[in-house]
Amino acid sequence: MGQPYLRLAAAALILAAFVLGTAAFLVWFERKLLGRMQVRPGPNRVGPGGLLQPVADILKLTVKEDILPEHADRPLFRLAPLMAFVPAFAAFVVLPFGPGLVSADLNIGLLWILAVSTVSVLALIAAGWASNSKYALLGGMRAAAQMISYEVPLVLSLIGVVLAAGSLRLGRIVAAQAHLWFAVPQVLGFIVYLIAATAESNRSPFDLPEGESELVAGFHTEYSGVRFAFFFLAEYSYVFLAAAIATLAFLGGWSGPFLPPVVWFLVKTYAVIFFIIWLRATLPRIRIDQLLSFGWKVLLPLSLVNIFLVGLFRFI
Amino acid sequence: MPEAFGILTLATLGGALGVVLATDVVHSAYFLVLAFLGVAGYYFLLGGEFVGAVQILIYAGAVAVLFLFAVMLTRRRADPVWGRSPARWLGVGGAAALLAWLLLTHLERHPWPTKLPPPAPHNTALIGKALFRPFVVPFEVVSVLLLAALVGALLLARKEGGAS
Repeated sequence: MGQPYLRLAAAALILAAFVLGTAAFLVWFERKLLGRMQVRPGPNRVGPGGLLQPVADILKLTVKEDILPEHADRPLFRLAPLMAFVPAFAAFVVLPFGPGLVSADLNIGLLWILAVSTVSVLALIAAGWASNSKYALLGGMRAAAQMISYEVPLVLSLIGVVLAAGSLRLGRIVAAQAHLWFAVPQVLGFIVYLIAATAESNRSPFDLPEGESELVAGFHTEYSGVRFAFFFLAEYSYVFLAAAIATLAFLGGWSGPFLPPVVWFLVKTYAVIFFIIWLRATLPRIRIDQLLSFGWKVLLPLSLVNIFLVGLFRFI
Repeated sequence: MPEAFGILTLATLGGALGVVLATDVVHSAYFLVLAFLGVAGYYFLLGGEFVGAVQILIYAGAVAVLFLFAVMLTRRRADPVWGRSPARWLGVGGAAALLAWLLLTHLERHPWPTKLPPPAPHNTALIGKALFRPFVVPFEVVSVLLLAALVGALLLARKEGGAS
């Protein structure tokens, strides 16, 4: 016990506050943007511009009854929301917000984020299985099929970045883009990454695991109160993570003129988040068979072409 | 870090015990994930971050998901769970005791080094160089083997499904 543990505890507390604040802000941001894009005001009653709406929502969710369905698999049902959130939180640990502004500067940062975020698939399957409801089970199975399929092009699209930067450390990847953002030479990889990351975080138009019109709410149909809030928290954490990795790996990270690095990082990340929300407001949900064949037959070959091109340009 | 080692050992052994003692196959699978994560933690403690992260990615993220997928596609929740009959206790306990005896008697004879050299700082790059220079032939052979397994699984699935 001693200094390193104190430092770890402090970093964990700051990160927890940041993740909670970001998720709450993203809920407001998304509802407001969707409202504007659909020519309606969006939340505007609680606080200035409806900014305190998520606070009210969180309060409501925490005081609600925590319903446990009959014949549910109790331990798994209780554990699933935590299993969904903990990997997302673990991924934030290596996320650099600026030069040196990182809780743990792992030399395999990018791989760590990819590795721990795969664990959350297990939570969605657990939620679907433990609820003992056909809609939840179908949602859980869809989540598993979708996330396994899109993980492959997601990882392969980032391989091009790792090849070009020569490191898995996120700081080195940002430094390698000092002259040119990777999004320019690897535009193919960037597009594949954006699509795969949207699918990986189960966002519309790839929100099949919770498709309201077919599955009520998918894997979290039976959840209420705080446990439901944890799934929500995990989803928004992943949206932020997906946008943050896009920023670090393709958009030059925190580098930019005039403004401090942290501001640049957040501006770029929120620009990507804006794009993801824009997609949701624009595109209808696609079918499960379309989703899977698109992932394997279009995205996977394209990501391989991207790796081939990057390798070729490095070679000559 | 002895505390970290203790926590990881608790997670690994507890997970492994859970796999054997759980009466529900799905619970066993989740206990197995706990054991996988504990082993990944050991790799991190030993300074092999790359191997640790790959352990999480492959075992917890892919192998366990495959197990769960297979269990959920083949079994319904209403199916009876495994019982804990005395015969089962005896069989499992006997097998475990035999394995423990074999391991203990043979591992004791081997002179294990107690002082390890510190891990190389850039071991991710070293693993890559080792895989693509001296071990490139075995590496490619494993790739072909996995591809053959993939094609074989597809073939089996197609035969079962009929014309589709």
